[in-house]
Amino acid sequence: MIRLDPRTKLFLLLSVVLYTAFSETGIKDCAVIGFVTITGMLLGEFRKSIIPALIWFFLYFFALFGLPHIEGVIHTSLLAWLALIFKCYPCCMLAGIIIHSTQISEFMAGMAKMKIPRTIVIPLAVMFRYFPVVKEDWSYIRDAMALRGLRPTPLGFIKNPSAVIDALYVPMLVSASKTADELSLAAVTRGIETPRPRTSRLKIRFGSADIIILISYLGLIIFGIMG
Amino acid sequence: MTAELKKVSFSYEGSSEGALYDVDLKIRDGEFVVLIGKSGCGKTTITRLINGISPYYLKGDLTGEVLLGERPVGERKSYELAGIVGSVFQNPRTQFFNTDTDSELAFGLENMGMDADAIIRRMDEVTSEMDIAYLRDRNIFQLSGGEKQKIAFSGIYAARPEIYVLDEPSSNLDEKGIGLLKRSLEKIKAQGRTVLCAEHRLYYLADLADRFVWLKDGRIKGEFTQEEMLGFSDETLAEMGLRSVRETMTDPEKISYGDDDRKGLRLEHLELFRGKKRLNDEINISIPRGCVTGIVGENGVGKSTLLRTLAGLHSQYKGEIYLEGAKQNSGQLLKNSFMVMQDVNYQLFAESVYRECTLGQKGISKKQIEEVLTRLDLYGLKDRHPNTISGGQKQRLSIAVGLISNRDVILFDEPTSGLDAGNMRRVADIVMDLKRQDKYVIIVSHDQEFMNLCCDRIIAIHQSN
Repeated sequence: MIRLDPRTKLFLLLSVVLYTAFSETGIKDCAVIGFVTITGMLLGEFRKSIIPALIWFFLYFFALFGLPHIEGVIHTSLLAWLALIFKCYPCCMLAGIIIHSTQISEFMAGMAKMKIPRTIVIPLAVMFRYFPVVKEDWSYIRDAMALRGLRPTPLGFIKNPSAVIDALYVPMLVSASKTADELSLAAVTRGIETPRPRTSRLKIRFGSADIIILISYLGLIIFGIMG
Repeated sequence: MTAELKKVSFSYEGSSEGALYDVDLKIRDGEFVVLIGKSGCGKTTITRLINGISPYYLKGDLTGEVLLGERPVGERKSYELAGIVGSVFQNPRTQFFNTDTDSELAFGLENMGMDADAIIRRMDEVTSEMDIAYLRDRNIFQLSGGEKQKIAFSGIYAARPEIYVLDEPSSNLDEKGIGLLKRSLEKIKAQGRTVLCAEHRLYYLADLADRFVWLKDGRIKGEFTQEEMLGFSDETLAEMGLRSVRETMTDPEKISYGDDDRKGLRLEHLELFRGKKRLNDEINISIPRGCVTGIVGENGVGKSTLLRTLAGLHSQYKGEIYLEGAKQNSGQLLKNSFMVMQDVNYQLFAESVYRECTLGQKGISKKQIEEVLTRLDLYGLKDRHPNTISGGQKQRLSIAVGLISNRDVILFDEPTSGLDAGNMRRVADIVMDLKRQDKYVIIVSHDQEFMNLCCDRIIAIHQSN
């Protein structure tokens, strides 16, 4: 297993974005997905790599062999939907792997090395911190809805759209604003506002793994744009 | 370091809650002071004036002087204060900036600009001093409340502050968690640090505190030494609006497994699972109508899962559940029971108290709703937005929803966490009222004082081996 510098990870994401912007959807994308899967596995994120890769190949084969047998409006809408999915898929998959494999402190240290101002870094860090809270909130909200006979499923939504929306977003907002207040007070009393440069316990630097991965992703962009 | 309030009056912007009037208080170097009094008496405000949260973040009008050592608090910037005052808050869930324990321990030190080797050395010292080797390099979301609070405390301890300010640190903790907290406090007291702690639960502080300062309506009403405090009877303390200073044990007469009542709510051979993990030994109990049953047990034994099962929200179990002879599946339980969640904010989402009661209900008359609202002392608030009423009122509104939808089984998950003595008694009164209405009431709580007050019997569930 390897460790990558957060700056390298940012570059990987950028290169995949560039690749998708300049290339047409096709068999090459399968190679990119393979690339991302290997990167994810090297980072130790097996679940976040293998499952999305399987879903991708399922969709891809469906587009090749299933889609031609479908006709009419369904064909057109599926085609448009799949085209959109195929465009976003590599970036989203890599982003998922990166977010999952990067600690907030690592991210902040990387950003500090790139001299990115704190007014940008801190809100981003808080956003990362907030994802797992949403996950916890979600399980409580689902319980609370069920107790009132509401279900956050498509069918439940059709039956009672306004109640389902209220039951979802009202508690989410209340919880978010409370969490944000408490979180920022805790951070302020621990000195986050200091104007001095922040240090880090993590010694972040480019290693040989970073260089190899960087070169291979650079190759990927060239291959995407030229080939 | 000393901390001092000189003729301090303070009121928050746009609210009279928690205001202070003409408070004089001097905390000596190395002293351990506990602030006591009802919710809203101003004890939290004092902690905020000392750690600088008020008036700089939670704004308000301040007159008088707040000094740390010889200097006014306001002369120091927030990041300078961070090195002197360590603040521990109520909710362990929102005290973390990071999602892993190691980063959290280092967070304050990194803000102070300490270099990497010194940080790592300090983290190792803290690990052995606070005895937290087993909590290193863990995901914070997988820790219990007590463990989270321990990490939060250790992260603050790592910065070696001179004075510790704690705001109801035990609110969300079970007995085990309080035990961990107490050990941390013993450690800093032995190191001669100054401690100021606002708290409702007093028993774990009784032998640590040098002085108790009693606040009422924003004024200091009295000061007591440890001996004086321990000399008060529980009745006297209740009159003062305070909780007991002695550790409350479960009333042994109430411990039971229930009688063989075929008519009530019966759990037979009930085993709970989370995924493949079996949580508890078989539960066999029966609960008659109009009986208040408390459930106790250690963290992780599945008390909350048991409540969720009875509410119809959790279906991974083996065994049977009968309600008055009829076997229940999750769908039926969902219709017959109602759970009042620990954080009721998740359960309220309509635009008014009245609308909250009609939402999703069919065939309920206006009169019925008004009756229930009156019974729970909410009728006067019926046009208010649920978000603007107090915590206790929200809790009662959630109960009202359960009553209006005609559920027979009412379940409570930790209904008194963070409540002062008066509010705790009010919850107990409501539970007694549900009992008079012949409901099945089941409560999961760590609050022994509360359980003894309103439960007819208490059942302990045990961990599966």
